[in-house]
Amino acid sequence: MQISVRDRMMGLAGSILRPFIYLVLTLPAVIVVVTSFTAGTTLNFPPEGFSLRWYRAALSSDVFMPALWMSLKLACLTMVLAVAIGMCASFVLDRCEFRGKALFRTLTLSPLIIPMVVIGLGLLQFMAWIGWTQSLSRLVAGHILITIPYVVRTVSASLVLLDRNLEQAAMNLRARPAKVLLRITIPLLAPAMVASAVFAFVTSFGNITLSIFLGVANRTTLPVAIFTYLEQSYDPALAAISTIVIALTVGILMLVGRLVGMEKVA
Amino acid sequence: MTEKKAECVVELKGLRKVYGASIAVDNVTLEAKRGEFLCLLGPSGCGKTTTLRMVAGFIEPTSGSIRIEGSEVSNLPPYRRDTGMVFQNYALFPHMTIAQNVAFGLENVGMDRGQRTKRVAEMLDMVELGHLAARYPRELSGGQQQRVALARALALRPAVLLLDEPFSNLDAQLRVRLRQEMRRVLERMNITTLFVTHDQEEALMLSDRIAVLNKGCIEQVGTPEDIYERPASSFVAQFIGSCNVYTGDVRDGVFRSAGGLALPASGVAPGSHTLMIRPEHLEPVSGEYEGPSFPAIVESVDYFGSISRMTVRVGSDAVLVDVRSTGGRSSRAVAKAGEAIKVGIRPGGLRLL
Repeated sequence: MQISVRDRMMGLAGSILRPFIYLVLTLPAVIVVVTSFTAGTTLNFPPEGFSLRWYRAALSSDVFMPALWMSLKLACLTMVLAVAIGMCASFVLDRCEFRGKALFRTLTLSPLIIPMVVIGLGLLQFMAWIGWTQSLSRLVAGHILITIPYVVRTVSASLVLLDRNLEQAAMNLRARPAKVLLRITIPLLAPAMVASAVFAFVTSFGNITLSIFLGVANRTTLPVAIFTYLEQSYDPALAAISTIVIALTVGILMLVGRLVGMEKVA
Repeated sequence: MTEKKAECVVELKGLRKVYGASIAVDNVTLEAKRGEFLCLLGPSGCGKTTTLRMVAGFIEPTSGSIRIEGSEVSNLPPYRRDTGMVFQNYALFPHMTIAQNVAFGLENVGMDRGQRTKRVAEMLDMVELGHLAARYPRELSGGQQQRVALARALALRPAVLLLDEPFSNLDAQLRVRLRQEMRRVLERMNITTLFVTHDQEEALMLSDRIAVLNKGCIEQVGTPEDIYERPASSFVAQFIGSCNVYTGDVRDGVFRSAGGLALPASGVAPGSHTLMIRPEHLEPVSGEYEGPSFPAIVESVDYFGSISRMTVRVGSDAVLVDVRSTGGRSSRAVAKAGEAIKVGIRPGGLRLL
């Protein structure tokens, strides 16, 4: 009897707490989205009236649009390269024995622990020292560094669970190593690869700390552009561009969800 | 077709595998003839699976040679060896349908689509799973998965089929049925088979010959009858079935164990010997029995239905004796614990080494 009362109390507490948590999680986004449709000229909540004027302003802005393209290019390059490099690192960690393996594992995961400001400062000094000045490649290098841990962790977890007998069975059926990789290993790791690609993309796309250090003056990323813009003016174009970013991110996540959902394996 | 019926398909010579300080496989020499079903039998950790994996090419031998169809393969990668393997967990590709699983090997050797489809259908019909071709492995039962694994391994018509404990993941009744079915399929294909198991019943039932392994070494190679009736060592005698094994001395035609058991052993050279006798070669007899026998005290009786197994004591030696149920009389009713009985030895049951 007592247990059932306690259960009911817990259930009740849960049903009160849950909407609150949802609210806290979504409120910032909701406020930004709602504000973006304002007809007024200041970034205030609640908005005054309804218009799309700030979307027109954002989409024709010569600050936001180049920065958005820069961010998209950067996130795509980072995603592809981080997954490729991270996959290789995961394979080595899973299948090879060598001296200093533990150190190597710690190093691949260390960008998660080291404060990003420190990484940014270190990279900035290093790049200045060797004379590396090209903005996009500097950003790509930095972003790969901070997204690799996500890839290594996700893919390693999947590799541990991968049945090595499957690869041996394929080899027994006359498949050469390259064929085993393409037909067996990679398809079975696909969910982990897609998941880590999404992580890498989103992390890169939303990163601001590292981009502030590594971006070169007027060739910078969207988060940095928004941040800089905010220091000068406080108009609803910020909300509009932010809403576009939110829509993009949600769109990608939904697309990936469907893709991974479809090829879900055992 | 050549007429060399007794030709060796698999030849292992002095095969060794050492991991650091431990020897997994030590000097294994074995031959499997064409169409033969050869079993590697032994307890876990005896090196039987390591041996099989060396034949498949997944483990590199420390030394020794492996020949398949007469050519040395120990330096070849797995995909260049003419073997087909069924894994203990079947290792079916979860992202491919049953048909795609069976076709995978055929694709790799470049068989054209038409022939491939035909061969896949033929293989799946052979294991009676044609109707499940479009399913995925996870939709199949364990027994069905095992048959798919067999079809996949045989699709390439390999020179030798390697079976790694293929029945161990199945429940007891299914195991017996699938054993019979596998024997039927393999007999029809007349394929040379290396079979690894720790289950003596499986080995006795399926094999043409059995190699018993212990601690990386071969203890005995022979037909199931040889292994069971004429074990070459006390390890073989005790591993296959149940066996009473004693060490002792033979003097004046009588074997005396250290524990106090004395049995007739005429025609055996005096000296120290190992005596083996299976429980089914012993029986409780009446006082008037005139054949070779010995007195004993019943310690316990375990009832198994068709037989009861008594543990009797002679001096400090324990002896297992089987009692068969006969018409109208349960095997359990023969003797009770604590009773003194006379145990008779059936002719030909004693074996001295």
